[in-house]
Amino acid sequence: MTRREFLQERYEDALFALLMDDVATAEGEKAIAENENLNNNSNISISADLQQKCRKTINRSFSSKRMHNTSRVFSKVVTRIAVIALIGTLLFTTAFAASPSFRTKTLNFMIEVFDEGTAFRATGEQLDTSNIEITTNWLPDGFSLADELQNTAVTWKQYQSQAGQLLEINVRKLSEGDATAFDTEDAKTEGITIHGYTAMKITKNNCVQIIWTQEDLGVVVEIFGENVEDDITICFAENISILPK
Amino acid sequence: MSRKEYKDGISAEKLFMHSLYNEFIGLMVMTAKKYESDPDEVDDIIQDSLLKLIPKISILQGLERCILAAYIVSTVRNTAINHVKKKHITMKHHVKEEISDIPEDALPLDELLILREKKNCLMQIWAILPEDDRILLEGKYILGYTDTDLANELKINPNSIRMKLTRARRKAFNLMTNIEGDR
Repeated sequence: MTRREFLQERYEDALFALLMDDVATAEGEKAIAENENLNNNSNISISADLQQKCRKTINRSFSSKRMHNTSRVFSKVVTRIAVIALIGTLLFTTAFAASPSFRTKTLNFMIEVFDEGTAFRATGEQLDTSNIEITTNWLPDGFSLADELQNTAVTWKQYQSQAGQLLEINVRKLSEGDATAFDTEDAKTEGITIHGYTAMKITKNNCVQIIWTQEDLGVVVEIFGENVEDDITICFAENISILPK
Repeated sequence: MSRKEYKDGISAEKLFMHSLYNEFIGLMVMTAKKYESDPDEVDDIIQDSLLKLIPKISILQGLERCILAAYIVSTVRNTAINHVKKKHITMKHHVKEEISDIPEDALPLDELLILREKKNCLMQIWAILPEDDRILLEGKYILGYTDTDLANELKINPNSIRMKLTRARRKAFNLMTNIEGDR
């Protein structure tokens, strides 16, 4: 291609972009008129089944976005590392100390605090875990299962109420070297006990997260509540059982 | 962007998406039904269209309302056409090579400049353009797809996209010139 031909092509491309903008405007105005006619026409209705599917698709996409974002935060360059004494007891809450053979097989976690969040990194050899069974033994009134996902790395369940409240359980398996991070920037954090494990409760805006590790299963457990009272989220967490299948 | 700003952004984006769905779901379904009558297939087309729109939220939020409507309709239409193509294996899965007597030579620049002043010209010939050319040009200029995206949509080699676009544009320009010449 000669330089002249290259410039001609670029000019045609730019000109067509302008002309297509006019086409888009005209087509869009027709679409809006058609849309208003549809919205005003009570004879046309969208099935409840399709409406529910669409809402689930949107909610699931944004839940995935939130989970992916915490991992992306961790992958940024670390500026400083500190171990929180409160969370340090997580490393010693099981039979880890009692049995040398168990110690060599237990997945150890290191907790690192950065400016933007707190990360849980697996540092030990991974235990050979089987699939995990999560059972929700209690739900607040008005909540029902909205969506769920299970694969080899993540088990996730989402419960919603009609009032737009959200409760999620997210269990992630970590291999050696893997990490998962949570947003603790400008958040209130405190230690609580769940199922005998020391957990970290993160409160930020209208969201509550409760996170703990279960070394025997090689997982990090996250309970997430949005627009839900703290004690409700804690009660939900306390009534979840996580067992190998 | 701080973490707080990011998290607040996610909530705003989610609300925007729900709002967009509530406003345009009727139009999306009606567009899908032009290509597929089976309700289950229509459902699949709508779900796939939503999954295509969600990553483009930052673009959608900046569009004027009429352009936004055109964007949504184009997305659903392209998704529906691909669904139909996948279903009917006897249909061609790639853009046909043009066997056409429309010259590939570029129009002189002065003619192009004249066409720029005729805003409705492209609208007038748009329906006459072959469907594959319309999909290609809509994908490029309305939906903002990259060459790779377009190649995936049309199931052709990404290296062919530039040539296909050039031919499609010149076909449109020549049709526009013919209309002007008939006046």
